[in-house]
Amino acid sequence: MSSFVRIPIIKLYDNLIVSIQVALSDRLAQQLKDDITDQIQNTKAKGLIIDVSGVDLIDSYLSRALRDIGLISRMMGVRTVICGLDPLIAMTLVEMDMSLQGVRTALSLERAVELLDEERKHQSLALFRKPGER
Amino acid sequence: MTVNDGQVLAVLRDYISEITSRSMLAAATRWSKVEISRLGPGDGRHLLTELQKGIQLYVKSPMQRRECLDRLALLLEDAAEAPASSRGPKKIVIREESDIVSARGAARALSGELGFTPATQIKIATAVSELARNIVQYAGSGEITLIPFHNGRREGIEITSSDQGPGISDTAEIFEGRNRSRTGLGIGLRGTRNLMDEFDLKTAPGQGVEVRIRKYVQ
Repeated sequence: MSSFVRIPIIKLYDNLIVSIQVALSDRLAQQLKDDITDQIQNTKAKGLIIDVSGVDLIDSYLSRALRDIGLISRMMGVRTVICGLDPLIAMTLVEMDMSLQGVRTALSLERAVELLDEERKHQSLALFRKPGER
Repeated sequence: MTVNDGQVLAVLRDYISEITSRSMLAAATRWSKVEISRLGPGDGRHLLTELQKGIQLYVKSPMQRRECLDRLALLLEDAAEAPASSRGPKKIVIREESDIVSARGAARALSGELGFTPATQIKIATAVSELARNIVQYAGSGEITLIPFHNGRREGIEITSSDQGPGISDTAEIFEGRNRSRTGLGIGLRGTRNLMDEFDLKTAPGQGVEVRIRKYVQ
């Protein structure tokens, strides 16, 4: 029916940035999952940032969708960071005993970019270490 | 009948301080672009809508808030059209996914009117979202009813969700966390129970599911 509305995925240097600013319906969440995997493949991005500062609430379905996106991306070699989680939503998630396991979170978009940068630096340094060295 | 600033202020002063009343009225007239001494058709309602925003902020008790709004509505001759009319029970038919979004929107709006804090409003909306989602996913269709209640000292919201779907065969399994459905039925229902003050589930295989939850205004 309504595959017209889509959430834009922006590539910025090595990262894909997705900012969710609308009430996310299940259909939209599924569409986003498909679009992100396509984009990862097409752009060869190394990191994925999902900004959820515009999301009005996160229920079990949506938290699962976010976690799935994180896991799928990781299988494709891309690290996911979720940023901008509203404190009230975070409280609700904790009370419901749900977690966004498998995905890292950052306070802001800037912190998310830094986190992914640091990690990549760390990884490339690791390539030069001698075997057994930590 | 004409109204003047003084009459509106007189009502507001019964609930909030003089200075807050004055600035609230000034802001409301500015935003609604309405002149109190010359109210045209519909102007009263515009002004009331703006005043309501301030009242939501400054008048703490939901009872007082309602009383204040009612008096203002009467004064502004638009009692019939006054907002704050959505306080009766509200039934939402759930048939498809887009109904989930409207159900949680309605739950949030109503809980806001009832005086729940923003944190609790989110919890209530999340619980409604879980219930509505279960209806769509497992039963196909059903309905959710939002009922403000007031008994004795306690005030709050009651939400019922009912469907004629396949029902749940082992509820204990769900609440002990052994159920790992593909869509997360257990997580949703457990989560809902954690968020609410009261949780009541009635179901049997083939008999549909009926959930009744309550949250009290603190």
